[in-house]
This record gives sequence, structure tokens and C-alpha cells, in this order.
Amino acid sequence: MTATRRGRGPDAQARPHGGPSRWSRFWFSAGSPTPLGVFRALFALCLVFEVETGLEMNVFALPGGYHLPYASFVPAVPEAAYRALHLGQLPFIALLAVGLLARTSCGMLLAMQGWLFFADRLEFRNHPWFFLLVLLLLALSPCGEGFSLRSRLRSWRGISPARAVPLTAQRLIQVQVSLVYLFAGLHKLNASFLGGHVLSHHLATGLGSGLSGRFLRGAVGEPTLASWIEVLREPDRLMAASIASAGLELFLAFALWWRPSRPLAIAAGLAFHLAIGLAMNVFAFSLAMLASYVLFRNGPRVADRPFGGRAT
Amino acid sequence: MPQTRQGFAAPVLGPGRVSRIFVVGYLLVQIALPLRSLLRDPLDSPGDFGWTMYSDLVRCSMAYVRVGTDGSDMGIDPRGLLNRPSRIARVLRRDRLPHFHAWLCESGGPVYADVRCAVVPAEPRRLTDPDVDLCTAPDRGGRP
Repeated sequence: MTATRRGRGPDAQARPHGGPSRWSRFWFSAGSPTPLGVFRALFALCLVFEVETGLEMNVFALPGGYHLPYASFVPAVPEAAYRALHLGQLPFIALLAVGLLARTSCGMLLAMQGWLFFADRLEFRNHPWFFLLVLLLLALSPCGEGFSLRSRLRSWRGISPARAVPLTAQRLIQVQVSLVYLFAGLHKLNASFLGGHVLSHHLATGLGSGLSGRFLRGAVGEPTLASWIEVLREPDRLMAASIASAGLELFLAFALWWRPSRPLAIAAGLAFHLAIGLAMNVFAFSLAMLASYVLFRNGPRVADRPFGGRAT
Repeated sequence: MPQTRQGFAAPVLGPGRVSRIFVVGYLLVQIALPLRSLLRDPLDSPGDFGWTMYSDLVRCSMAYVRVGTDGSDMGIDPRGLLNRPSRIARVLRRDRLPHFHAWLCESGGPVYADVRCAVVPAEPRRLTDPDVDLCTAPDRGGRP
């Protein structure tokens, strides 16, 4: 890309001699709306799983018992509204999935999930926190422009769909995913995790329960499953897996960005998240992280185009 | 959030001053929160907003006793005071215990507690002083 061509972008004034900075090209370029649209639809499916989990887990939002509120102005969720606040998310999740009133739906979901989440500090879980951040960024993005019923309806009415949209919010979601991997990996660099204690505890308790437990009982029988769980109770046996797991998260934080390492990162991430989902029953978050890989499809190369340039 | 209107109906994040401020602010917050959690002792705080997912294993033992007006001891099980008993580990951290103890003391005191936690495989550490009445201790935590 030549300096002259860069100079046509909106940042030309900021850098009259060199066109937009790398920073501006990264954050404020335009690109195809399709990856974000596909991510929006997949992310909506993950939210369905979270509604079910939330019904069971968000009980600190209810009155009664000990509470540790973030702020006094966030009231507890009335018992009568608790179920409605969860199930009421489903219509908006459906709209988000098909891409109709997508940003309005994000706003509604943000409000409903936000109330449940911020009602009490004991409520905190990383996974809903990630979902809230993604919902915020989707609400500020043109996520309904691609792979959506909205764009389809517009094209039926003769309005040509947007070919290029600002990628700023998409970039923020990508960076957010990398930050999750980076800090999750860095937090694991301690004796408790690397010594196999954490994996031992969670695998020994998670493997025999939930979907994986039902599947394994059927596949190998109760005695074999029990013997596997007994093996998992020994932390030393999980040291190598623990080191690999922390290393993989650090690898994924960077490897998704570069074209040469991306196929390996996607394959490794797929195996990693499926294993977490099955062995530790963490499905919604695992699927959401996997869904985000779609966003890396047109990574930095599209970002080279200044905003307003033609996307391909 | 204001910015670009290039073929889509509503404004979204794009190249504009408010968007630029939003991006920088968002990044600062999303880096600062996990960094703070990374630098803290896991027994000080559960590391909320830090992406600590499954990063350490904390085991705690606890004994809470309320002394009645007649001098008799009555054991308290803190797990039974939570809407979800299994989340007790989120309370047993140094930054949270004072608030919890203050709440316990609203139902009368004196209250004594022996709380020990360990980041496995390290040795357990005392988070309270078992000889100090939590209801009269200045920090409510009775830090040893």
C-alpha cells in the first residue's frame, strides 16, 4: 500500500506524511461484516447454554442470606422476577442469532445479565463476565450487517448490503479473547497449577459428572471410569498436562493473530476447549471462545485497508 | 457511541474521537484489572475480573463460634448463611472477611473465628486471629 493511497484515509490529517499509523489502521479500518455476523450468530447459541447455567448459579442475586454487593444502588433480584429475568433473555438471544434488531437485543441482554451479575460480588464468574464484555462490544458494533436476516430483508427491498463496516468493535473482541488467554495462562504459572493440583481436583470431580460422566459410564462402564478418576487424583500424573495447558493458553494469546500459526492455533484451541467442555462441563464459555476464532479469519491483512476503503 | 454512518442505520465504534477514547480506556481497564489480580496473593482476594480461571486450588478450614450472653459457645457454619454454600471460598479471602464478620456481628457477639486457607500444595495460613473477638477488632478481620 503506497503512502499516497494511505493518504486518502480519514487519518491522513493526523499523519500528513505517512498516512494512518499502524495503530489507526489496526483499530479503525473497514472490512467485511460477515465474520462478525457469523460470530454474533454462534455467540447467541452460547448464550442459550448460559441461560440454563445462570438459572442454577445466579442465586446470589436473590435476597436472603449473606450478600456482598458491588454498590448499594443495585437491588437484589426479586424472587418472582428471577426466572423471568433468565427466560426473558431467550427472545433477544433468538433475535441476536438471526441478526434482527441485533444491537437492541445486545442492549437488552446486557441489562438483564448485568443486573444478575452485578447484584452481588459473590456472583462473580469469569464466563458471564466475558459474555457481558462481548455483549457490550457487539452492541457498539455493526454486528447485524452481515450474515443476518436484516441484511437479507434489506437486499429483498433492493437496498444493497454493507460491503465494508468499521472493524473497531471486532478488533476489541479479538483483543479481548487474546487477553483472556494471556492472563489465564499467566495466572497458571504457579506451583498449585503447574504441580497438577488444580487439574487433578477439577478432572477428578468433573469427569464423572454431567455430560462426560453419562457418556463415559455408558462407554466404558462404572468400574473403569472409577479407576480413571482414581488415577486423576494423583497430581503428579497431571503435571505435564498442566504445563502444556498453561503453555497452550499463552500460545493461543498470540498465535491466532498470525496467518502461519493460525491453523495450528485453531486446531489446538479446538482440542483444548472441547476437552475443557467435556471433562469440566464448561460448555458455553468454551464454545464462545471457539466461535471467536471466526473473527481472526481476516486478521491483520484487512486492517491494512484504511477505513472507507473497499473490502473484499 | 457516535461515530460513523456509512451505510448502517445506527452509529457504531469507528474512527472518531469518542471511539478512540473508548478503545484506549477499554484496553487500559482490561489490562489493569488482570494485572492487579496477577500481582496479589490469592488468599488476599479471589481475583475477580482477572481471568484467573482454574489457576489455583485454595482449600480452607474454618471454625466460627458465637458466645452467648450466658457464656455458652454456639458454632456457626458460614456455608449455611450463603445462598449457594459451595461459594464459601469466595468469602474466605482477606479482603472480604471484614465485611462478612461485620455482617455476622449484626446478629450479636462476641464472635471468634479460626480460618486457615492454603493455596495447595503450600501450608495453610491463618486468616484470622482465633483469640480476637471479631466484633470488637478494629478491622473486623482479626488478622493475625
